[in-house]
Parts: sequence; structure tokens; C-alpha cells
Amino acid sequence: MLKQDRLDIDWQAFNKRLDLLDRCECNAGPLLEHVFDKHNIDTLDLSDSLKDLLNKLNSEKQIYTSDTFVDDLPEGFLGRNQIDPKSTLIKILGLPSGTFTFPHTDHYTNTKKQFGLPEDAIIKRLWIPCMDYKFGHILCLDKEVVIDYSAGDVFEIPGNIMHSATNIGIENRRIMTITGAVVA
Amino acid sequence: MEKIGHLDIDWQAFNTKIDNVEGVVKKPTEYNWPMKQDTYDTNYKVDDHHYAQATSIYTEYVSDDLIKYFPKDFWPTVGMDGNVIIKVLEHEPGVVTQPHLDGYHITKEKFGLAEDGPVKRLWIPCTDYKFGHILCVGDDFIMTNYKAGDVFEIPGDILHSAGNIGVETRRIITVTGEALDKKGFKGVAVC
Repeated sequence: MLKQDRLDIDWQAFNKRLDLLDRCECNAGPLLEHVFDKHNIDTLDLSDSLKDLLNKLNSEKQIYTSDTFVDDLPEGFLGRNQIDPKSTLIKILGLPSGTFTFPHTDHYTNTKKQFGLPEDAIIKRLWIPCMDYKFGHILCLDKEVVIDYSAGDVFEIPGNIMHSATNIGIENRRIMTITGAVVA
Repeated sequence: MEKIGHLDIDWQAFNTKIDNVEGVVKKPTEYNWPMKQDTYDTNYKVDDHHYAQATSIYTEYVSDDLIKYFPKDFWPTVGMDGNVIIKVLEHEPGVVTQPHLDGYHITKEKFGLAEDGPVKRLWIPCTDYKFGHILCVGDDFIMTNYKAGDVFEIPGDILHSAGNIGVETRRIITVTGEALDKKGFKGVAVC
């Protein structure tokens, strides 16, 4: 996953804004039923109790949303990344230490539903860390592990490749995803 | 962490024996969260966390016979003498080893080593690198791109953690013993 752009904003101020829940709200990650079955990795020989726990840990994620996130982006940022500003969903994901996003591929269901996009719409997801890389902050994408990044580095997650994330460090991890329809 | 050697055995046969729990004892590791919490309190600050008991217990396989897999001429190449504790550690998907430092207390006690070491811990993967198999060491290192049998040395005085956020079981060997070449670590009192 190659760095393809920079999102140059005041990340210290942005993180403080999130800490204070200023013009944004924070909800727990969804408690998904049968997540392993859903992503076709049900061949795993995991006990039901471990599956339940992993699902619970997935739901310990903090998801920050706001109507203003898109408008707060620097002018031209979405355009140069070929994303339509009218169909852009921005989320900030917080992963406390010990939490986990299970292996999955992306289907962009929420974005398509929210903006009434057809099932075959071409969608892009940018992955932007809100802080410099820290010990234990992990994004695995196939056989690649994304490290050595700085706050604001912009990567594109290829949604068709299985990926997962965790925080096995000692400090909270926070990243931004920007998902939207690709401009033709 | 640099590769310091290679253990050239039939890894497929080895893994089959472990799968079948042949000649080894399989058991869950002890849940040592309170000890880890001591580490945090003593050595560094940790934010709120969710290191839960069920995801922080992994599996270990032990046997005095595991040493038979190591040729005698292996030991001088890694600065050890074969008086070691060998464990096979296994992480199912979703299971982690919490951040910690190494103390080597069991090894020191077993072999009558001085409290200030030096002790060496080798880290040897039993499979080639796979998606989601993680070993983090310090602020700037994650272990990837290894082959089964590659031999590395874990710097026990640097904060490290491990886990499996992939879809296949992760299995590695640790070998712990006196560092005859003095290139070891003394271990931390609280670990």
C-alpha cells in the first residue's frame, strides 16, 4: 500500500477536537452477528466463545462521525484523489489497546446506502492515520504490514484484498477513513 | 531484529507432530495479566486497554524432547550451549500476547544463572510469514518476510507484543538460555 498523498491539517487540534467531542459524536463499533461467517472465513476452527469475544472486541472500537468532517477538508483534497464530495463518508476509528478489527474485505455498504449509489458503483477508500506510527498499531493487508507512517499520510485501501487491524500497543490508535464514489 | 541463523529441519513433519500433539504436552499459557499490569505500572504508562483474559491466553507445547530437533552444532552458532528451555507457542486468530518485557526468571532458576544474566531468547517461526501474524518490537519494528526456521533474537529489554489477526494459526518456537557470547539481556525484575 503506497502513500499517495498528504492530508495537511492541524492533527493535534483535530485529535483534541475528537477528545472533547467537539462538533462530532462518538459511538461504539457495531456488534456484528456471525462476522466470521459473513466474510467467508468460517472455516476457522474457532470456539464460539472466542468468536463472541472477538466480536465484542470489534465493538469496543470508537467511531467518530460528524456532518462537518467533509467540509473541513482542505480545498481540492477530494478532487485530486478522484472522490466525489457529494458522496463522501468520513469516519474516524479509535482502537484502544487490545481491540481488533477482524479480517475482512470491503463492500462499502454504508456509503452506497447513504448516498443511494448502485451496487456496482466504483468506490474508493482512503486510510489516513491521525497520529504518527506507534508501537503495536497494526494494519495488515495481505502479507504487508503498514508501519513507519506519519499523521496525515494518505493511503488507499484496496477493498478486495483481505485486511485486518489491531492495537497491541499501549497507546490508543486513531485513523480516518474517507470513502466515496470515484469521479469518472 | 536481524536474522542470526537458520534451523534447517523438516518443518512440515515437525508441524504435523505438533498438530497431533505427538511427544509434547499441550496446555494453555497462564493468564498473567496482573503481572503484566505491574510491568505497565512500573515501566511505562498505558492508556485504557481491553486485553481480555480470553484473547490473551495462547497455547504452548512443551517437552524435554524438543531439543532433539536442534543439531549439536547449532548451539555455538547462536552463542548458546543447549542448556535451554524450548517452547512451541501457538496463537489462534484473534489471540494476542500483551505488550511486555522479558524477565527470564524461570530460565535463571532452572539453570542457576545469576540474576543479572545475560540470557538470550531465540525466536523461530514454524511457518513462513502469513497474513496477520504479528510480532512488534519497540517503536519501529514489525517482523515480516521470514521463512520457517529463520532464527532471530528477541531483545527482551525492549517492549514487545505479538498476535494473530489473520485467518491461519500462528506457531513459533522460543528457546531461552544463557548467552555464552554475553550478547544477551539481563531481564527486567517486573516483566
